[in-house]
Amino acid sequence: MSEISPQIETRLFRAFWDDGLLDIFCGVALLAIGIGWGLHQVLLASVVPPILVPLWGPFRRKLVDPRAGYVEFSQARQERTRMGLKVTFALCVGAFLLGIGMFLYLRATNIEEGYWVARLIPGLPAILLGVGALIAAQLTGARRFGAYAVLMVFLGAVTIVLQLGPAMPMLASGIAVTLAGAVLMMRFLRASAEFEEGA
Amino acid sequence: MAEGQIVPEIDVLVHEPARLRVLVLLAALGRADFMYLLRQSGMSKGNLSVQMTRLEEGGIVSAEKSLVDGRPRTTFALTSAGCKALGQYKRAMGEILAVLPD
Repeated sequence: MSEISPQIETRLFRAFWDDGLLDIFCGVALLAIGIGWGLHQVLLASVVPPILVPLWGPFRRKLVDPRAGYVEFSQARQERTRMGLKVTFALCVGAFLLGIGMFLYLRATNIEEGYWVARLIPGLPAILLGVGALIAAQLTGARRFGAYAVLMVFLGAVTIVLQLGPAMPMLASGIAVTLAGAVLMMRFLRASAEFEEGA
Repeated sequence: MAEGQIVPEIDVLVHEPARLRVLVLLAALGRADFMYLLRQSGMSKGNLSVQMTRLEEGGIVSAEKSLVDGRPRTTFALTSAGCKALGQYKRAMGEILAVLPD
């Protein structure tokens, strides 16, 4: 079985994420961070993403599993996924802390606006989350996360060049990722309904 | 293989196309429920149900029943006998395919 299983397993694992639920959760987390930073409501930005992490499982069980079916992948695959999720989570926490650190640093030091560090900092959280999205793409095999990564890095660069606040790339990428997730979810629900009728 | 038999024997329980499709899925995965196998195999409910019963009776797969959020869930996995049967099937088919013309 070792010759055919890895390819088939990889394709099955990629298909596992095609319902769009993960995209919606990531998009909502980005939006919450963006809105929180935009309104200077750090609490909102810090509370929503950790709340979403434990909610993904119950939502998947309620919304996706009854339609797509339940599957447990191999132990090796589960361990690899867990490790990747930890790294991605650490990057998200890092991006958030970077945002907070930036805010406090700029306030405390009162450095000149033209100073290069001050110019770079607002775009860095988006770039860091872009790296997280790239890891998610590698982890899930879903190429669209690679596109999200490119978008986030691009928005981070735009933020640096145009000297925008850190909320802008979060809001823009949050909207894009949530919309993409919603489209995938609608497609999944429609396909499930058609399958149920045909079965 | 029976003594004196040159051409390897094929396990018909494994070889049947619909069952083989399900077995390939279960070999690639760890465990899956009926709905997942239904979606991924493209078989009808009735056909899959019949094939899963045969595979279970043959000791190739095992079923595990559980309650999740108050709903019954039956998941299937390959048994160790099933893994062995698939290994033998692979070897036998390998020998057969090796002598077939391209």
